[in-house]
Amino acid sequence: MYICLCRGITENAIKRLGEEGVLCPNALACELGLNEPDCCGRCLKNIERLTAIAQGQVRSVAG
Amino acid sequence: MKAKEGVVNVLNKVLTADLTAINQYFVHAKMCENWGYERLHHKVRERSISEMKDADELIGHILYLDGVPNVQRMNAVQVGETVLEQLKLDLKAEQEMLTLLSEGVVHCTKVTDFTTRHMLEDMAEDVDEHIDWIETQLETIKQVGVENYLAEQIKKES
Repeated sequence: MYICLCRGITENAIKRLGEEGVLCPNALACELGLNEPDCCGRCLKNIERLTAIAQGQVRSVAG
Repeated sequence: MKAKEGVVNVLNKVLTADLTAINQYFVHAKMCENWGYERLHHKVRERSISEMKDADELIGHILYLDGVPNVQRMNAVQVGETVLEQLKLDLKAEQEMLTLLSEGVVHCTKVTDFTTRHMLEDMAEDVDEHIDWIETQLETIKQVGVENYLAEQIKKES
């Protein structure tokens, strides 16, 4: 599913980043552009969950 | 008319879920249209419009009870990347809506607001039907496979 509608970030895109080795919260935020000033900030608030998705610890949100 | 205690709050909670659902179903419908799944596009679009009619009724009723309809608040819109994901996310949204409506019905009974209770019960009936429709789709997918299912969605339902 789409995790972020502002930037069109999908769960699969985060998983792919994880597979490429982007596994820590900072690197993920940077790679996804979550630190940009025009971001709504919701993703950054949930960065722990995004990191868990990248690390493959979460089953698909859609079940 | 003055509202019984907590009723406007209940109605606003349902309104929030409703406004979220309108957007979620509408974007799912448009995605299906973009993929060429005409049958699904029409079904899901219809659902979005029926949620809008519910919102219409909710806002009207909140105003009737001298409350302020909170049209500003929305939950996270959960958009699926595929038809299967969309169905699962819509199911989740409908199940949450049903919980909310049931809690509302219980609350309205407690404070003896039977008009609102009746309205919420009617909405719950609609949600029940939609849950049943989604469950049928998911079961069909399980039986015939997602490709076969999707092939059937290309044509419009006559």
